Amino acid sequence: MNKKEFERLLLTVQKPGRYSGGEQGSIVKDKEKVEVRFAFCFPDTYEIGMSHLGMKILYSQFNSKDYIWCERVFAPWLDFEQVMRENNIPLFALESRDSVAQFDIIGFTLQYELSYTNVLNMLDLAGIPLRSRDRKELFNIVVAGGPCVCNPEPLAEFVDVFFLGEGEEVDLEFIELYRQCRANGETKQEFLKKAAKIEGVYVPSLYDVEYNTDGTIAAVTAKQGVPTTVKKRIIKDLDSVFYPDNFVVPYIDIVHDRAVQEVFRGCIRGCRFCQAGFIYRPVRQKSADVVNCQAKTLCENTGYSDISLSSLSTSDYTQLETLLSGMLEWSEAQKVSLSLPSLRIDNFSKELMDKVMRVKRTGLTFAPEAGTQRLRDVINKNITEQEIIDTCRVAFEGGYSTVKLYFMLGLPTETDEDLLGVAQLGQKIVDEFYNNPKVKKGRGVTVTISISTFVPKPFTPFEFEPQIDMDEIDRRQQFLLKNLTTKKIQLNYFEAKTSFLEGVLARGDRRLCDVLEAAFRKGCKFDSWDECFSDKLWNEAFSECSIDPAFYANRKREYDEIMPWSHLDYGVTREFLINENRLAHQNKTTPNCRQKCSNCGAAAYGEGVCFEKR
Amino acid sequence: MKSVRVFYKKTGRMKFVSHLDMNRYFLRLVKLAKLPVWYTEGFNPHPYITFALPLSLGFESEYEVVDMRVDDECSFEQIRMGLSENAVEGIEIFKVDSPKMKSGKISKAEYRLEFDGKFDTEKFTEFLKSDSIITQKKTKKGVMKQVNLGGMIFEFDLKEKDPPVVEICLAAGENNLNPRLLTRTYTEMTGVCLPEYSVTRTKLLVASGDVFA
Repeated sequence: MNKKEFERLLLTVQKPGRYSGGEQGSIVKDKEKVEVRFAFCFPDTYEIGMSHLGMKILYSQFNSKDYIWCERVFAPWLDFEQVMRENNIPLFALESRDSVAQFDIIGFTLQYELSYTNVLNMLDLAGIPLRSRDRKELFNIVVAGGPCVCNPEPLAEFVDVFFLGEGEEVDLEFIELYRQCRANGETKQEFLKKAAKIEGVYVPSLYDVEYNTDGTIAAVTAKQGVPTTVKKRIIKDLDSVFYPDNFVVPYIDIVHDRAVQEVFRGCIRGCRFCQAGFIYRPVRQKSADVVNCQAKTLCENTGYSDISLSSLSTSDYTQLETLLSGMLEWSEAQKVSLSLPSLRIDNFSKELMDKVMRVKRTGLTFAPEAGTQRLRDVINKNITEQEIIDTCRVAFEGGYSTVKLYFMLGLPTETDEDLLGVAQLGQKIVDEFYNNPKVKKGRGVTVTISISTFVPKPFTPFEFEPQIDMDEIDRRQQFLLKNLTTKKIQLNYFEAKTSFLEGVLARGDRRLCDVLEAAFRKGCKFDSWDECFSDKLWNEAFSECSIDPAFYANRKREYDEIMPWSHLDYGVTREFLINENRLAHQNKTTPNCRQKCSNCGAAAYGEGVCFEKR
Repeated sequence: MKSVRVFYKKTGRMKFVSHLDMNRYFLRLVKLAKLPVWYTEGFNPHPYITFALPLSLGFESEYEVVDMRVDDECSFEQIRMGLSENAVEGIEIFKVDSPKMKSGKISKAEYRLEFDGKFDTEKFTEFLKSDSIITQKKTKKGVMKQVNLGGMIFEFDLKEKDPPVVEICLAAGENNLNPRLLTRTYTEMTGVCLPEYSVTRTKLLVASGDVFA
């Protein structure tokens, strides 16, 4: 297809800017002069993928090497996919518009389970065989990284290589190995075997899984001398690790259209439902000077006038005051506004709020997660109701009149009393607004309560827990709705059916590969989008493959069960997770990493918070 | 503070950038160029920039105009250099000047339509010359309204090349005629489909016929 025809077709779909490329900061190289072409695929829309920091880091880092050209690929939205299929346009990379099938390495980032069907759909659109075993050459190597890789088994038959943990080092070691093996004319099999010996590289085809008659896993066996457990990689020194000095800046409006500056990795808190809080351990910080300097460069090079400080819990950054003072020295003059997502309630101060609000006021969002102190203790969310109310008071007195609160429904041990607590907490916040004489009224208050359904995840203390079933989710949602009495509180739900599928895939094993392919063949894609998700098609896929999804979602695991991810090592030990699970059932909390070490196992990495003075 | 008018071309992949997105892009471009621009003093301070006339998504242009306000000491050349050095491929700044006319005075625009294949040019010429071309057009409020395109077509030049190129001047601004509406109406009225074509806006004019400056 020539360029003219292609561009005409682009103009027939919504938001052609998703597919046109040519953005400020995008990197175009001469394909004759590079040795390895890497297609970085985000299995969701452009707007979502372009908001993702990990992709920005690796895109810049790969392209900083002369021999690699890394390009971006996103899942086409339904309208353009139809145009592509009707006109035989293969999935292409934005920079060169070359078909993904021409790339040496095709890398996916797995940020959420519900994007798995998009991975298959994208391979299919590229005309690449879905199954790893059907791709025989040392070419079109399909790799994947990201948090979902901590249990990659549902994709084990499709992906050649998974990267565990942080990618900056392991990815380049892998690409370098590919370059050498290809130069030596080695086979894909020889290459994979060598790759599996790099720390952090998991080649699923080199591990056999056997099952018990009850469906649980009997054993996972490493073949051909590859390591029996695969250990995740971390970056030890965040001050010296590569960080982009420029971003690709989209023209169209994306989800997070701003500069993003990473502050630290990991989280000291250990909230028991939160996978990120465990798989990114140990906490490692960048120093304030480095953050400040990188942030300033990024704003200057991108032209962004908003920057957000990114981490799992930005107010836990030990040098936050220094950093903010340093940043305000230039940000005000350059009309750059700071935003701090992921603030915690227990250390949100008036001073902090004033600094954030200096240039532009953004919304205020908190996540108490559970409605009663008992349940917050179960999940180890160490904040009190008084802290929540106090924070809202500070915010209201400072001029805020909307507050958004996140809660989860279906947490282990949850009762109706806990749900009532959600409604009551919302009411108390509304009352705080109206009963506080220092608050300027006029606009009225809006408290938004967003409810998501709890999904037990691997490598958390709740990996053993059953997810509540759909009928029970419905009942609890209705119960909560019934108990809200004021229009000042807005209630939002996330779709429960998708949470169930997420629960299945999160703790699934290799037998789900067939289900995934069946679902994809039936047309499942964009499962995280309510307008695309079809539980009917998924149910058909499960029953055709004779797989009971409840086995994965709603079953309680014993402490000694071999999990599909038991041969993967993310630093936290099974003993620690079991102990945490026991404490949860006793309503007992665990201190955060800065208060006291709880021997999770991450100290084995020899870095970070584990070695700070307490 | 003074107002300045920036003239630029928008070509290539930039044709996929909509009017609204161009606005955001220019805010960043101005920032990248580190120009001493004037910021609005409202709730959300941002540089003050306004475009003379929106360009449809998918059109290229050789004559786009955007106004901004800068410090008095800032020279036209300084602005041109600053923007040029930072602009992406597809945006070419070719002139910076003081505004001579109000952008509300724009009443015509010239376009070049480059067709992919041959068609009955005589029949199309006849159509363009007719005084009464009645069709439905959606107003800003979204209601369909009957309009006569006849009075909105000014000079045109149909070049009998292979494939043909049409240069045409159409009403623009307050009372705007998009070339796509014109050819769609042709097809509706005559039942004749025209080949695909690409559009380049080549000039903006005021009522007297003078080029907008």
